[in-house]
Amino acid sequence: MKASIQLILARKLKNKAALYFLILILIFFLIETTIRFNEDSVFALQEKALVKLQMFVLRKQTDIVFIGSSRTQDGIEPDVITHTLGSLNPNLQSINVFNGGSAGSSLDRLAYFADKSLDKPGLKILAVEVSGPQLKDNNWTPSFYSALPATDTEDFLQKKLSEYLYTVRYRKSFRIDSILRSPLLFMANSSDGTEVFRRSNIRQWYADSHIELTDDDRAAWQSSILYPKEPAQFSSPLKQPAQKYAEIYLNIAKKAKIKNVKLFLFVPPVTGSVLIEECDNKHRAIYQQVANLTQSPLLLHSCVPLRPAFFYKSDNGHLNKIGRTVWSKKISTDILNPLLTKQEI
Amino acid sequence: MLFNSVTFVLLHLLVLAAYWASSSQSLRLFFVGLASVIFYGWFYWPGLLIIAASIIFNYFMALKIDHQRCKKWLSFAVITNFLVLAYYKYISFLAQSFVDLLAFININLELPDTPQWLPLGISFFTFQIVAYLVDVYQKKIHAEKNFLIFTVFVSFYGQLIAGPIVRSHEFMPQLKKKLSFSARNMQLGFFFFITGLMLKVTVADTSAQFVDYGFSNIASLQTHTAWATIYAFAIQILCDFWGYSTIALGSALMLGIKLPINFDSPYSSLSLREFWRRWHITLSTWLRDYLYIPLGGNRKNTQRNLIITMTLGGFWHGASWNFIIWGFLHGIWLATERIFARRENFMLRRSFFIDLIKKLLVFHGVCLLWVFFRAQSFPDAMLYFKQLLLPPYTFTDPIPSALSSLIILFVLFNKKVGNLLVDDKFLSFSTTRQVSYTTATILIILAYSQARLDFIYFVF
Repeated sequence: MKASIQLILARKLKNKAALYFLILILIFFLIETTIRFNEDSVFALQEKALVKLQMFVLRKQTDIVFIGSSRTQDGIEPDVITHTLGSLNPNLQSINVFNGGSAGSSLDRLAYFADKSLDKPGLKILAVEVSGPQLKDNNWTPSFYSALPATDTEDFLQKKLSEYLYTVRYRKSFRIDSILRSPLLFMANSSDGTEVFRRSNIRQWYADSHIELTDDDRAAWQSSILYPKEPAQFSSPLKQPAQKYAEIYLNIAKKAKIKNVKLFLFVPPVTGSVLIEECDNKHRAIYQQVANLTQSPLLLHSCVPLRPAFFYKSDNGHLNKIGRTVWSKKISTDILNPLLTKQEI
Repeated sequence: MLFNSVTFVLLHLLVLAAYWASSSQSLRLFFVGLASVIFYGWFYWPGLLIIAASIIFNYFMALKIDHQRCKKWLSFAVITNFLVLAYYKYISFLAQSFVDLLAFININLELPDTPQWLPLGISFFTFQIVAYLVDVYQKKIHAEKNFLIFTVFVSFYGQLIAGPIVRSHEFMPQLKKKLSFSARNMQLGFFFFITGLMLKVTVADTSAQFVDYGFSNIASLQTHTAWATIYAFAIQILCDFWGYSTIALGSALMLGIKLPINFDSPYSSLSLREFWRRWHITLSTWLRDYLYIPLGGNRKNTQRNLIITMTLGGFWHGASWNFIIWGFLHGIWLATERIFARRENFMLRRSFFIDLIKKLLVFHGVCLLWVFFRAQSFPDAMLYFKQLLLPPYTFTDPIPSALSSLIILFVLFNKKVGNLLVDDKFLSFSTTRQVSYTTATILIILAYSQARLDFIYFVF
């Protein structure tokens, strides 16, 4: 029996067409198997932000993670924070910081990132951006990457295909930009998340640069920290989006408490018209209520007037190299106490 | 049911299994016929009534013509077919044009009720049937007596909706003999199928997004974005139709049936005449054999014949003045080319640079005429020409990187892909190369396929 099967196979393989189909089936079987065994990483390749999250998940040790939008991505320099914390307290010299900010982060994405981040063992501080513009965002998407319901036969078949074939489900991972991202996953431990290849440059920049701050600058960089007061029932003039917003932070806070991770919130610096918008009384009230609800301190760096061209990129919404360095040093001192408290725990 | 759908792939797989498992040719044809009914009825089932009536009518008319050799019967059958086509496809346009014309002389009429739907592929199967009737009359073939074979000839799902337009003397003999399974045909058919799918769902549908945006916002286009958009349309229309034809070729080949190729790198043409020998080849040859030659062909009034043939060819594409103008201008260009081609020294000695210049001129000329093809109306077309050609020339808006990449990749690879789709060249490659090409094609389809869009030629 065995001999006859071998004979049939040998004859079949002599046929070039049969060999062609056999190899094709084998290749796609291997691709399918590889994806099934590395589902999280393959899923993450589909998007820049997801890759960053996956890099964080794959890292051996991270003590502090910052998550938020592009303002966080451009504003936080993990090397500077490690350096500053180390200079303030020798015990914190080897503290490991990761910048998980990513451009275009929506509220649901923020929730997803925070949830995944809190699952990582050993995390001490989770710093989450509170973003003013999101309070007005009425385009609320209830679930992250949710599948649309089937509407006809074709949709049904496509849904079934992606349900059973992971090669189809994660098909966007075969795009050139996705494939180019794959080395990032292997560099997870050597990256601080801001930008993979910028790490050494920034270290050099920090060592070499001498930033001249004026008295006005120093005054402006003073933190405004909103400490939590008594837990309050959330009520907001902005109604539904703000309510959803608060619920997300409340859920993050609940999970952080369970995981024994210190949570603190921050509003990144901004200038121009957004500054005025983010610092009106309505927003301040909401920031305070979010702090109350989550029982976490909120660092309000948004409502300070900084020199636009000196600290910001041309869009006035994102910090430049100088702004990033200065703010990272500033925020390091603000999180020092919670970190020490956590270490004592 | 679209070629670029899982439903079609499933149907085709079922047909393949049933077809090759069947012991008799009649049973095989029955399965193909049944699949064709499902395929056509899937879009809009009342359309089946039109095509069924057409099959029954033309089956008996062909027998009658073959039996009596009477020109009256041929005329009756051809006119009836064209009247049905005219009723569904052109009546609205003709009525609207008539009402507009009367309104011009202050006679206002209300537009009468006209058909609200167009039976899919009616232009294709009408042309196919008319060619068959003429061939029967001219004794090139005998009328097919087997109703099942005739049904499959008209309604074969592989090419029913958008061609290629097959000739009865090429197609019917393949349906009559029982073919033995060929793994090579299966392999080549599979490769054609996925390559056609890649052309459609990645190249054509990606281009479509830019084209749709550009032609919906003509006034906001700048000089370079207008050119980029028309390049994108040139890519879209080629890959859409080329993709469809290649899927048709592939799916037929898997059943052992060979269909004629419809495209042969048309944008590499050195003249418009060559372009039409490489673009929609089965339509061009149909127009040549059944319109241009009967009009007199090259024997007398060549220029007039060319202009009439191309104008009617344009009208075949759609019931709109834009298509008529498009066809007419192609006719003018062909006629002019013919005049100069007759003069000595017109054809410069061939060299790489002269050929390149000719290719660029022909390609850009074709692109300019595509404006009429794509614009929604004549004023839109004129506005588009203004953005393309007239000052102020502004270049401040960036061209989306995806569009630039698409154009560059198309220029680099379209000829290479085209070469793979001619005859059985693919089979001459080593297995490693075959597998690499196929794997890359499938991964490109998976990675870059867009939302399902209809094929452009469905509306013709």
